[in-house]
Amino acid sequence: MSKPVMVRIRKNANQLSPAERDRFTTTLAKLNDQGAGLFKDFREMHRQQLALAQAHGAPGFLSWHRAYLLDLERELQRLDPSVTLPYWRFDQPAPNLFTADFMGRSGALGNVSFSGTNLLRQWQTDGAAGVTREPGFNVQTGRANVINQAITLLLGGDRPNAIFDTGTDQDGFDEMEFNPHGNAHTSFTGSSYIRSRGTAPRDPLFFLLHCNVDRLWARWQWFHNRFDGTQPNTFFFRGSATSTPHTDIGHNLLDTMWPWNNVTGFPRPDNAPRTPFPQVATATAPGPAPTVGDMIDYLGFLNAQSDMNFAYDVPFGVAPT
Amino acid sequence: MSEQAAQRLEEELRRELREAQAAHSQYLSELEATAEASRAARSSREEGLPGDLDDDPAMTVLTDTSLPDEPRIQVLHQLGPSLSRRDEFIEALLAIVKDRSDSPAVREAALQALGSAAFQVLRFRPHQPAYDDALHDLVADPVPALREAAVGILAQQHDPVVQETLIQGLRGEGSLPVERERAILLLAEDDHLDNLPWLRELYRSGSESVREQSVRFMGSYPDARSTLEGILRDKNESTSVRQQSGASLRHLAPDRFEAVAKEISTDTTDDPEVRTACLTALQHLGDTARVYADTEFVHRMQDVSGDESAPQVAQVARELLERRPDL
Repeated sequence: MSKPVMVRIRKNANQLSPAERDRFTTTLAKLNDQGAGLFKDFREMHRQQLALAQAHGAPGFLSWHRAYLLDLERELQRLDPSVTLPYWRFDQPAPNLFTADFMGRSGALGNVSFSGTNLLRQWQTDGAAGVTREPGFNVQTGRANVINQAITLLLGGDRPNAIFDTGTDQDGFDEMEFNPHGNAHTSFTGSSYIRSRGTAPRDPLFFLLHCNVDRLWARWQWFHNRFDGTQPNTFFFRGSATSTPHTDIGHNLLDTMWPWNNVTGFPRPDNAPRTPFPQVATATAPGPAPTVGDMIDYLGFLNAQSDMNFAYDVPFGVAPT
Repeated sequence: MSEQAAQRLEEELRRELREAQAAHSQYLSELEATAEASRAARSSREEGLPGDLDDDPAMTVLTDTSLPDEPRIQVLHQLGPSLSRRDEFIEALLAIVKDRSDSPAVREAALQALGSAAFQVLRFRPHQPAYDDALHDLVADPVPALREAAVGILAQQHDPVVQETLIQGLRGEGSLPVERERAILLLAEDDHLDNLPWLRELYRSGSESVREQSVRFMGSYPDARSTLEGILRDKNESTSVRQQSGASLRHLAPDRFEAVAKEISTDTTDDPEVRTACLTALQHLGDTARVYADTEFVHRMQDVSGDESAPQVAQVARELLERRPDL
């Protein structure tokens, strides 16, 4: 079964054309506007403990970050409709990514240098210029210290807390939050911004890292046919934070997600930097206050109204068998 | 994507997964053998693990300091995802990191694993205090890589204890846990501190990359404004340092940057890369309407756009002209 699609395709960052690369870096830098732009809201969403708790260490991790990336991408597309988020395939060498024309070249003590035409030279977060990034691997020939894609796709098994079940020996696809996700972050050393959860979004590479995390989830979904959030092998905690059983608030299938739900006060943070979720003419999903479950059928295979108008270069457009 | 292509992709993926599963099963067999040998050796040394851990080949291997590094590190890489939920795994990692008699390579791998686990905020919360303690212990560790990692993580968090250690070290009142240049740059990540004197020192004494870092952080201090303008104008300074000075000046004084950038971008004797960086910033950021309203500047851009002796500058100038609102 196939479906006609007109979607914005997210591509491998290492394979972008120079024009695609430059449009992305220019648009991202304009969104940052040397610290004064809307990007600062995305920075705030991934900073303090209560905010980080909305998105990490529990089953809503993947849904929250899918929404986070899509929110950013839609803001980029307001500036340039042709731009999509590229992904950093961190289990493979990506020499074209770590250049002065793209995500920057790391020098001594983690200084990241950009070329004259790369507007990321003007990048600023938290009142400070630039990026600190010290790769713990050879960026020309090596890769991050992560499990590879095949092993990642094998994750998943019967367990009380698992959200994805493939029936294999390995437990819990959501454990990819540790590796490859966590390991992709910690493959950078020293005081690299991307190495720590509170500073990671200060490095624009963070969004390409998470785009690959989302791509891996998308690929897992496609391969194992996991688009129905009401099924136990797709999501375990299928109620809300007051259901039985339940997990932390914001991580149950029916929970709306901070900040887009504009719910503040403990256990949520005291403010909501971005609310509601941006609506676009090309897709009706997700709505202004998306739930964890709303982010699962992102291609609209089960319900055409759930189509969020984005997909990955491989595979797309074809429903799982 | 056609259905045939999707089918081929699925078949290829299934083959890849079968191979990965087979390799993983092979690894588990080898791990069990290693663990069995470890238990036997420990038994002969009259050592042991708590019962439940002793049954777990991964934990048995990970915690056996008599084993070579490779099988212990492999446990972290191959089985980390499934182990990461277990409290005893995190506790074992903390113990390894704190054990100065253990292998530096295993300790570094354990520290990376803890960093990865720390991203799982809710699950890691009970271990956070012990992790913070371990990081503070590492500030005085004999292994340089571990010291550097811990100081870097804590400095990014603006940890006051580490900051005080670095400041005292720079003043000569104590020992520095990392090299002097790194210490200055780590302090500079917190612009609430008075780092400008250290940054000026770094600029005078450092390599090109270090100078670039120093002007980058100078952009947080209004008192550095004239210094940054001077560096931006200095044709004897390297391209990347000048470009970064421009970015820092733009943060502190966007109007002043605009004026200087216009001068540099039309100076045919100046570095094409620096001219390009100035033009790129003028074109995309800040009050672009004001830039385009400067008819004299726009007129000079028309000359620049035709100057093929600096083709990259000419190209960016043409792009700037093409974006003029009145065209």
